[in-house]
Amino acid sequence: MDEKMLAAAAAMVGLTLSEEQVPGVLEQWHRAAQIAQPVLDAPLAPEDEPAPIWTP
Amino acid sequence: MDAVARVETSLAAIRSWNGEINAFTAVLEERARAQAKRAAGPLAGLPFAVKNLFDVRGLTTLAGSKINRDLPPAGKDAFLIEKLEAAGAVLVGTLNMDEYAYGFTTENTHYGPTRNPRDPQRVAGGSSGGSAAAVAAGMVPLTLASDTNGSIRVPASFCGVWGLKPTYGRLSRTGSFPFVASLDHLGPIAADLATLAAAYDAMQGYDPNDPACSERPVEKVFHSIGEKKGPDIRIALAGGYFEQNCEPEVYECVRQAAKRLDVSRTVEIPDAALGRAAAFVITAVESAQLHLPNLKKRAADFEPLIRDRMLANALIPAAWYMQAQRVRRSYYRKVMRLFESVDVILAPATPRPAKKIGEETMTIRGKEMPARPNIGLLTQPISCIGLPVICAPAGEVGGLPVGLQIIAAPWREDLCFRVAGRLQ
Repeated sequence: MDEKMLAAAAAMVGLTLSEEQVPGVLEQWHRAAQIAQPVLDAPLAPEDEPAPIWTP
Repeated sequence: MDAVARVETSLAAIRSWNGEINAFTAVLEERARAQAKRAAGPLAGLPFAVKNLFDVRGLTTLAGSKINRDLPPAGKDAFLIEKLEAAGAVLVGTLNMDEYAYGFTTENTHYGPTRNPRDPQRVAGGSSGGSAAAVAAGMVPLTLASDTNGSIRVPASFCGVWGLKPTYGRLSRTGSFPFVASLDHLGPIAADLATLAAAYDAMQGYDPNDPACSERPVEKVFHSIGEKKGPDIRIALAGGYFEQNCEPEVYECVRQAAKRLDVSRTVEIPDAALGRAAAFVITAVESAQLHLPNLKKRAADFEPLIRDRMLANALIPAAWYMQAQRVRRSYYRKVMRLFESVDVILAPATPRPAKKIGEETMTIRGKEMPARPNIGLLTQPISCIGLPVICAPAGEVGGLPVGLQIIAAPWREDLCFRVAGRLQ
């Protein structure tokens, strides 16, 4: 994600980011991406279905 | 002491200490005095206060925000407040928190930081900082709080008090301002274990208005404290991720607590790091979705400490969220297999004792990292899959308290209380 893509993604969900906001938001997005990476790489089985309402 | 006297003692303590600690955002003297006169039941006259994301009749539910000041006052008390008052407890006020429960420090720009009663230069933890600080300062013996990623356990650990995050779905969330629907839990923080158990027992019960609330019958735990009968409990200390992600002195404190329980076995909670990462993604996406209308209209009114994070969260792809929910399911299965050979797992609650107010970074085993997103490293893997957990005072590091998580399989709060009873 770069500044141009960030602006486009923000516009798609209806957010307006000022020029001053962009670096901070971009930094936070990259931090989230870094933390998410192992989740995205995790091998999963078909029975590992999503659970939007969690019932242990 | 009768109910009226207990409430007056609490109100006097709030007057004495709240100026320094900044735990309370509203004190309900008139309501408390009226309620104290008619208080009856197992908790008769027990003063309590609630994190200000709980609805209180006649007050606007702030959830730590500036934005919510524009909402009308609540017409009704939250479900859990009604339950506690039905048991005789007396509501005396509402408490400070991180805005929208998104934080671990209660450094709230709108309402000021809540200070740790053990060292007022330090944070009380969060997001239920007011709830833990009010108990630690002796202003009230009981508070209600919420825990999505550790918001009961982190402040309980930092302030040296008891906290319970029950199984997901055990306590109704009706009348509380949400944060992350699929991870939000409510629970008590208390000065002692008996009060924690009595409050939990009083609050249980099915509520059809909370879609996550379980229909399981009430399973009281008060009798579990000090219970000697019944099968031995297989207890183990969590190593691996939980040892690597805290300071050695904190882990030693937990190891000593385990020793007092004659625990020699160590286990590794499988995929704990993955569980924590999944909780992070789920939190980011659900919270941003909840607040998207206000992020579009009035982003400038959000807490400056979370605004950029909240905006970035709104741009996370949907596929990441679905993957995180599937990882959560896979992680849950693996942890349930571990519970076939162990009943209770002990783990540190926070990587370090409370940081100083305003500090942006912290160090764990020599590695510097941003403090705010990482204080919950040890609590997030547990709430991610809804396990019940008590945070108990474990000891002190550098003169500051640190907590111990007592974790059991879903619906086994009784085991958490049995083990906690042996520790107190």
